[in-house]
Amino acid sequence: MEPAYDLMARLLTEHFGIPEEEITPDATFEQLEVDSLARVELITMIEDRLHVALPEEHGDATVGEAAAYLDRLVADRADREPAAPTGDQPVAMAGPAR
Amino acid sequence: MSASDAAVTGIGMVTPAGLGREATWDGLCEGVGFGARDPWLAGLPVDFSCGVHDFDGGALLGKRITWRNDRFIHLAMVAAREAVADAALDTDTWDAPRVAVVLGCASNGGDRWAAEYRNLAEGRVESISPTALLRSLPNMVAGEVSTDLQALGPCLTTSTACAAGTTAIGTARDLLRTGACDIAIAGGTDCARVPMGSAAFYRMRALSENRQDPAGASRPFDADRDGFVLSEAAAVLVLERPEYARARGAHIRGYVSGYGASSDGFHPTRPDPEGAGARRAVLAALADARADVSEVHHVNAHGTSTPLNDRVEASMLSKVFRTPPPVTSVKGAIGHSLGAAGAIDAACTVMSLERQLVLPTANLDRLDDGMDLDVVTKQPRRHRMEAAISDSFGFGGQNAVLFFRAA
Repeated sequence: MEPAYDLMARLLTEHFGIPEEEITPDATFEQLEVDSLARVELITMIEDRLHVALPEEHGDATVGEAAAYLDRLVADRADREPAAPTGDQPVAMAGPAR
Repeated sequence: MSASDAAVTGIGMVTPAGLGREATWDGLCEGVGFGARDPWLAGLPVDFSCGVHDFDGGALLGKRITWRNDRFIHLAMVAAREAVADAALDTDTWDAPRVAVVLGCASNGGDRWAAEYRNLAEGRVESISPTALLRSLPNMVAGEVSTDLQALGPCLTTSTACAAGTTAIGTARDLLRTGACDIAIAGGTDCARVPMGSAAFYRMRALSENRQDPAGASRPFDADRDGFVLSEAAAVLVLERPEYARARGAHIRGYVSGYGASSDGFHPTRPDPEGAGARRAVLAALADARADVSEVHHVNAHGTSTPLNDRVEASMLSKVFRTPPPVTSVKGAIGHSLGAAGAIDAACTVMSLERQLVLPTANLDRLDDGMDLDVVTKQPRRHRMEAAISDSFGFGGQNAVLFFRAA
């Protein structure tokens, strides 16, 4: 599975148009101008891809912190249910329908 | 020109005929239809449309803006930026609270609704995008354009179905007249080539079903017309009071000198068979401009290519003008873009007056029986014009007409 950091960085660039070079583990969402609306959208997309439930990130969290948190969540779940669902792509994740 | 006129100092357009004002004009001059099979509509009974196929909002505007809104907003933003640039206005230094935004929109965005309704139906509420509403509501197009341009005066969307773009320009003219603003960004937008749009209009029997010939399906005033063709587009005009435009040395392309609106009070979709509502709107626009019918040298018609609309419109024009001046409908080329249509017609009318050229109506091979109109076909016609009207008629019996004078 794509590491959480890579997934987050990819979504920030592909979906939200944030230049790749601005995204570092130390960058906060606020610094990247990812506002609360965009954070909810990002969380929605990540939840659907990784099949985890997330609290809303604070603007002062960094991309690295959020990714580490996500990796822990996914690992915990893998411990509990070895046959975690994969491949079942929910509709909303597909990004803009056209 | 009088003090109550609004000067048109900028035009922007994104249409199936071309991305940009001049590209659209050149495309329309070709006199051909831009309808084609549409992959978005694959599998539907009507699977063709007129689309702006090379339009990529994310690439033109940046995904930082476009991720949160639908395509009808992207179209409007691109057209608005072009119009403001054409007017040589500097958005950094203009008196922002004195700039209004009025945009017409017949429907709303539809890019994500199918997916979000599926999420709702299947119990995945947490998967519904937080942008579901704000990306698609009609008012958001005016709001997003206002934010993008930092135009901070009155800001609204007009909703009069297929007359919305015309209503927006008339309403913006009125805001200028009352002194509520010094500059108005006015026009219309819609992206109607969405699956539910095709299905719903098909169910109303409003669409052409000429799948054998998508490019020839939209044929205003033609004997073989069988309905309209869904489209997508945006057009935006910059309007200013003439003395304001002159004081800043702006190039004036033409004037909005009259605006008339009316309602049929007859039927949800069918026009009044006598065209009484439409006629009242034309006469109101002329009265507003203090113009006589003899001063109208060209009519940019609504001409949707539906059997009933075109018949009623042709008969109404014959009654008002006795011998109507040269008529055109650009919907033969680019189909029906609903809320954008009136704004495109307005932009084309101003450019026609400026260039003394009437655009051709694509696909008109044989004028329908009983129509006594001089419809321009095949190629642009050079014609001396001092003034012209553009008329629009919407579902709900909502009619709007603009009267333009050459600069």
